Amino acid sequence: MTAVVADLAGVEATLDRYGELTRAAMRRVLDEGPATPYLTDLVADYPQRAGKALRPALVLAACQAFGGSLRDAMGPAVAIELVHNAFLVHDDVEDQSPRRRGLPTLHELHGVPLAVNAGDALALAALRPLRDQGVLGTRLQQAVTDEFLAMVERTIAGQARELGWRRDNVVDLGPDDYLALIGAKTCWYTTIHPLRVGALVGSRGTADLDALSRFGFHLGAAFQIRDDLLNLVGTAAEVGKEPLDDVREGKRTLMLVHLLGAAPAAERAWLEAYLATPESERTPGDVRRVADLMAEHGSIDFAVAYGHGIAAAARAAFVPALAGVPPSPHRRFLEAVVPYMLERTH
Amino acid sequence: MTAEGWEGGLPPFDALHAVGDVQRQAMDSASRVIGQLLDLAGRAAHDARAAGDPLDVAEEGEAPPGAGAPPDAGFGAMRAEMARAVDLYVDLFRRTFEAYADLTEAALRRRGVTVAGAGEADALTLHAAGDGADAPFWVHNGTGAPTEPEAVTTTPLCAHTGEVVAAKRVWVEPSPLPAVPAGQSGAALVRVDLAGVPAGRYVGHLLTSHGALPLHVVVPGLDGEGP
Repeated sequence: MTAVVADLAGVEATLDRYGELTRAAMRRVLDEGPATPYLTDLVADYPQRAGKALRPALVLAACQAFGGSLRDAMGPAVAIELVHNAFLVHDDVEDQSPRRRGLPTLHELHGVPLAVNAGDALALAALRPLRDQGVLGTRLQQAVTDEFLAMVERTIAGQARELGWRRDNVVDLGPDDYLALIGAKTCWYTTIHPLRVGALVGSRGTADLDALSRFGFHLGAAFQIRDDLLNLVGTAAEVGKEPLDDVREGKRTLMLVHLLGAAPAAERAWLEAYLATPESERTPGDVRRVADLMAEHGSIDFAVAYGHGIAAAARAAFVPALAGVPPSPHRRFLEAVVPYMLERTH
Repeated sequence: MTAEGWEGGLPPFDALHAVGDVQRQAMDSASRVIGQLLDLAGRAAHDARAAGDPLDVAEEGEAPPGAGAPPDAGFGAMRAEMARAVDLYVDLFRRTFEAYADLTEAALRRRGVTVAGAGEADALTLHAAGDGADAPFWVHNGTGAPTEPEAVTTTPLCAHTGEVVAAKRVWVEPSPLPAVPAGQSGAALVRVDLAGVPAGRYVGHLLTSHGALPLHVVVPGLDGEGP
């Protein structure tokens, strides 16, 4: 493998620039409706908390790399960021998470009913920028909307699978199951959809979307594995939510899947009992023990190596995905995102 | 080793220079899973097309012209530009068509309550006969609800010479105007008392809640000729 040094500062500066543009456009979309008590402020909360803006950045960069303009792709970029925020609100309720992006979650601040309602409003607001036919034209607008709806369906189906595994305490899982889960739950809306839609708009429907899906899948998988690792070994400031949240929630991370396969019988039995225990009854000591078992049995080493393998495959998939696309800062950004996924610290 | 031991940081991307077993396993798994995901997506799209339009399924097996030979980058860029231009023209055509279609439809489906005289003229003309004049007018109710009964008023009738016929000498029969049922028309008569009124063309308005109808009253001279 050729050594590649991630240009973390360069990638983060580009993410910041795209993030600023997207947040300004999001504000315009959210300001369209009348101010409503118990709703308007809640809807604006998560979008105002500065996230990485990875999804809109991939949409905008892919569009520009394939010859389109920022204006062409801003609608789909805002749509994916809004629906991402809607997913976060509902995800936080489902996981009973106390913190998001360094602050209390929406349901902690306002209660579950109002938070769920605000999440609904965010999901609906995500459709607004897609109805604009003035920029894309009817044919492309239809194609983008189809892509968006297919992405939402896949993401929700993936989320259902994960929640179902947790409810039914499914433990007979391997890395393939984990990849299939995050492929549907995370990769499609985090990387595959943004790259496909950006290229679709930039090339006016002529790009090879399957090749972009392959690149996006590997990129998204590397992103999710890093996310899982940061939650396990990162600090609260780095993660933006409580460290070890994933362990407390019993989330089927790559490290947990590995540990279930690697732990001796007695420890596996204890782990299965831990996962069968209601989340509210899991003690901090038990949570810490699971994390330590992961380190002891090489689950963290495994996830790190696995993530590197996925990232190497992402670099290989980049070539056919961007074949024929001339050199540009946008193309270079998409290439630099691969090592960034493995080295980012938040 | 504990998980806390990792807090010094995860290794950088370039830390591993050789492909190990775990990495190879990751690559193989990822290749399998994305293949399955794309197959699923392809099947879903195929099923949707099959359900939507059988012609799409029939054409699916036919390779498009030039398939099999990947276009070079120059052709790809040109194709994208042409697609962009076609999109713009298609949209322009669609918008123009829709604008004209909207205008035509609005004209064809003009609705509401209108007040009109006989014929196509925009004004109601009354010719004096003896000391008075009269003419019918109609209220056309194109809405889905009956109109309210209303007392119609008029403005004074003025000639260009400065002569005026007071508004109280112009009235409508019956008064008040009865309600007109939804989708129907009702007729009434406007009358003018012209006793002692000098010859001339007098102009005023019949005022209703649905709009004003111009009144033109022609009073001929002694020789019978109009002004």
